[in-house]
Amino acid sequence: MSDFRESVFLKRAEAGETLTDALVIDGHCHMGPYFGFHIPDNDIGSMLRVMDRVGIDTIIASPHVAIGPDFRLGNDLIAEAMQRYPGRVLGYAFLNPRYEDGVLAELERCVSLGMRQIKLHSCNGVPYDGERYRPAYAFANEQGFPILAHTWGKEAEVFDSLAEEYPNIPFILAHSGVSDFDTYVKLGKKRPNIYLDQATSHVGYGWIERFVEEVGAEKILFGSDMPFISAPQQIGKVLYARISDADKRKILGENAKRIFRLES
Amino acid sequence: MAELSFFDCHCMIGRRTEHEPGEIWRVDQLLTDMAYFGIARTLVFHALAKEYAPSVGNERLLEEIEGRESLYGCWVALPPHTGEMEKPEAFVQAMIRAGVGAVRVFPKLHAFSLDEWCCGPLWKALEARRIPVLIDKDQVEWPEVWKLCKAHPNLPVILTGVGYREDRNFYPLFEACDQLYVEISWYGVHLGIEAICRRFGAGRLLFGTRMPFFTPGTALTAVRYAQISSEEKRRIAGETLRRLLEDVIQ
Repeated sequence: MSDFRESVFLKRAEAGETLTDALVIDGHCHMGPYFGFHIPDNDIGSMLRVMDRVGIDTIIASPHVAIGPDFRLGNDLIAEAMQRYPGRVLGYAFLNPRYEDGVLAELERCVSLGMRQIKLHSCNGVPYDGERYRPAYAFANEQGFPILAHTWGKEAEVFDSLAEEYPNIPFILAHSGVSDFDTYVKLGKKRPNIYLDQATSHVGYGWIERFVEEVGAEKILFGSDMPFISAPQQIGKVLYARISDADKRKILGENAKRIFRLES
Repeated sequence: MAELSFFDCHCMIGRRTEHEPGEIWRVDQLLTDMAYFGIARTLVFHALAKEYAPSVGNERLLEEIEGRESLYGCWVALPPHTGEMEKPEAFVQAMIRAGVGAVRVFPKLHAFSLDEWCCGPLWKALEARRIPVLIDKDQVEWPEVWKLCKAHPNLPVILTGVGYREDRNFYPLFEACDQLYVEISWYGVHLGIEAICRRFGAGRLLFGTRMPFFTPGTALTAVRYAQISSEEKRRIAGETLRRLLEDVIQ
């Protein structure tokens, strides 16, 4: 039995105790109902109850409706939650380049509402390296805004050139490892501004350990996808991982604090 | 929190075709992992029974878990008509003699129907002894689960690998079929465990890890941090599975 069994985080998990030993930032959250399946309680109140139970200090979220049909409604909903729960809820500006006002104008509007990070999703069919996203990338690069982008395996490869082209943007690849594991290892190792989000419904055996060994803990971010997926379930892959507690602290919150430039 | 005794209902050992780096496959590795993750007991089947031949894998399983008190055998079954397996009653008697308390089937992978004309005799023999049947969700369609449960109301059916997008299908099945259980390794619904406990009771959920494919940590924290009572956690963690195995008529 290795020393990893002595982890403070593993002990907390075994006792079902709220995490009080580290800053915990969930950098990949949503909010509200989703058309594709049932989420029993999906409002911000239910998410805060989970955060309190587990010990998640802050979430960074983009409502499902923003990713789906109405980016503007979603961005307004998260702005409202940010205002209501300052410090606990941060919002992503979600951009949809299928609308004329869905990229730079929306980003500027979201910045005026207090958002300092961007969420993108390929479900609208617009390629990440297409011209339509470029004004937002230029803006984000100037400001150093992180971008969380939904990826699935080979799809992530587009961020190789984007990360080189926009070196001041921390690109966070959502669902790292869920398909084509080695693609994420390659990108994480190659580009200093590429980070690997760990929100995955498939919770592969030893994935956290492999990422830490091959890419380094400072490139890995805890994300749960809550309420799309259960945060209490997702955090288990970090708490029980056979890695050092110092690395767990980085993954659970220290990396996000640095990348999202959050105050103490 | 009161101590929980975890009994994993979803685990496979043995070499498999698509082995991944670092993935466990030997009994000693499983026992090491159970100690690390705090899992007291495991219901396990053999990869050879899934990916080669059930009769061979079932025998190998017995050899490999012999003398391991924390490991409980689960055999893989086929329909009886081709002679690849013993007739259902003989198969069940062999199980009982060997101390095997549960059966798993892979109807899609092994290319057979769950319907009565194909598996009816097998279900009948298992139902008579109340031997639980485990089926991965990717091996079965919801209407087949409905038909099986309705045709054999005393047959405990445990669906494993049920994902987070399935409530709209299995809620009605939970309402209609008292003998249906769901294993939680992939059931990552936000506050989903809590909702099921409220609507159907904690006794319908079973702890499972899906080792060696999944890390056990996620299913463990899903239970540990669930906003339900300690008693409900105990039932999910292992009491319900233990009771199901005890209920098997010897």
